[in-house]
Amino acid sequence: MSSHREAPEITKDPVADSTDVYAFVSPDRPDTVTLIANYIPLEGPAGGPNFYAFGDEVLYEIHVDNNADARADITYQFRFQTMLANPDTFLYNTGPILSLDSPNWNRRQTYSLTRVTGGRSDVLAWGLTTPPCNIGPLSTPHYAGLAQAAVHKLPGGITVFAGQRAEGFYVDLGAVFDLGDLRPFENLHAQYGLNVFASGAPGVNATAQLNVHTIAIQVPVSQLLWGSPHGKVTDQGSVIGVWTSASRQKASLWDADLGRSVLAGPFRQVSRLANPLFNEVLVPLGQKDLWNTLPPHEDKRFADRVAHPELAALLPALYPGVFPNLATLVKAGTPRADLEAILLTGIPSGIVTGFQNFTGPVQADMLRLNTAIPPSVNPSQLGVLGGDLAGFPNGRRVFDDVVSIELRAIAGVTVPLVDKTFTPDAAAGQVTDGLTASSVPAGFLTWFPYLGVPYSGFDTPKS
Amino acid sequence: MPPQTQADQASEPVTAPERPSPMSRRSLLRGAAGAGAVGLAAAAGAGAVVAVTHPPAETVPPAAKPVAMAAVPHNAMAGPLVVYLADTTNGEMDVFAGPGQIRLRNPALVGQLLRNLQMAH
Repeated sequence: MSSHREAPEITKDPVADSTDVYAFVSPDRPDTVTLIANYIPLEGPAGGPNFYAFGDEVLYEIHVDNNADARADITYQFRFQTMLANPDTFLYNTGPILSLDSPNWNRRQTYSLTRVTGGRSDVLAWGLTTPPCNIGPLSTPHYAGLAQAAVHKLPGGITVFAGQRAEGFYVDLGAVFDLGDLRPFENLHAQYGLNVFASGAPGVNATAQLNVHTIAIQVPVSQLLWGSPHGKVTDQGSVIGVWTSASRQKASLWDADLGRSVLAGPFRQVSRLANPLFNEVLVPLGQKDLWNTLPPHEDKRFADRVAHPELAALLPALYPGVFPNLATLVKAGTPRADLEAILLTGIPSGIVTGFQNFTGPVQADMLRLNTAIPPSVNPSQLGVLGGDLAGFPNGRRVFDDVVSIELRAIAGVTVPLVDKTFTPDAAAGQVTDGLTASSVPAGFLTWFPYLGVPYSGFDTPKS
Repeated sequence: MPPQTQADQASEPVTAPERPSPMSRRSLLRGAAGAGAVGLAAAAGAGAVVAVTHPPAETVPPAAKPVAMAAVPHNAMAGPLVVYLADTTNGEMDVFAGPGQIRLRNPALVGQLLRNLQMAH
């Protein structure tokens, strides 16, 4: 998955488990940038009576680096508070929830938004409402409008939302984690001699009917950049680095007499995410928990895992004869400078015509967005690989096919960016798990917060 | 509704029982024996967990000088305080209060705490 349950420790703490990060120039407000971080992986829509919610004890943050040192220059902090109107019922709601102040809604959350910059914290807003989870036609009969009412306009041109959304990340989990099976090409898989597959098959979107919890903020571009020249694609000052983190207080003790946790001490990071699949696929199992505790500017220690990705060696082994040129590259031990650029430094000018998102020599996992590149009129879900400079890895939009993009990059399709003598295997440009943005049943919105209306518990799964 | 800050989170009062239950003490000791560390919670100023955090004055040796001390936020003492004995052999302990943390070294106090725990068991 992108980063769902990607490390052993965070699997035990779903409310602090970041699943996806998005950063893009807003298509309907191109003078703004939208930053989205999703948490709580694989929410079953019918998960009542205590439906999913953010963690009151978790410090959720979206960070922006705007001077190329991989350290946060601007951080948006989200803190949640749960309120229980009636503790004498087991019900989440005691009637239809028709508005965000409905007396029928028993368990709700509000949140505060704080901006931290230059060591100074400014509370931008508090008491902001979140929408309920999408329960069904009796409890949440007009859900789309109800959720949209939880989109808050703040002074300074900032728009913010926090609440449940449909999972927008599409991936064939069942196949990928069955020893690298890609259904469209599974007949080409070595199959360990089991000869299970005689032909290819369509992909299956394992997240097709699941929800997540989203924090999203839309900010004028001018508030994210600093004094360095910006505004042109070639200006390094036009590029921002983005990541999310979740932190908990260092000391936690279960007070069994009171039936509650006692929390104290400074906040420490327990989850981090920027580029999809970074910790999931590139970082080895023994270091994933460590990676989640570190800031991006320490990612140099993982650079070798990017330069020599395990998956690049696995593809030729799992698909014999399909990736001969990749196999040669791996055997030669050639460092993957293309992947290092895409994931750790950004792509410098002169590599892709009309594009750069280079943030300097500090190796760090960040989404890098060149804010001077306008939204695409005809977007390609393959992003820059598809000739669409407004998509991944120039930031990431909600519909980008990051699985196929990263699979193809690791398979070698981006090597010629740094080595013109290398010829990618024909299969490298076709690798996919067989899914597209249309594999997401909820679809996507063309307006903030862009992720689709969450699936309702009543309707999901279909009988 | 006032803005919620990290400090507010930490200042939420916790009422601790006058004495930990026998089950709690046994759990603590099992944890100490297994991990070489003990976690203690107390409501500062409330005299809670008396047997553990406030042994009789005449039995307490002079405190050793702390090796390091960081500022504790002004409102931290209103909330829960957690002490983590990170290393019982050298007397180091981390004290968590509000969003702050200090590290102390006090072998005498740690020894006394452990003796009290053993007696409580």
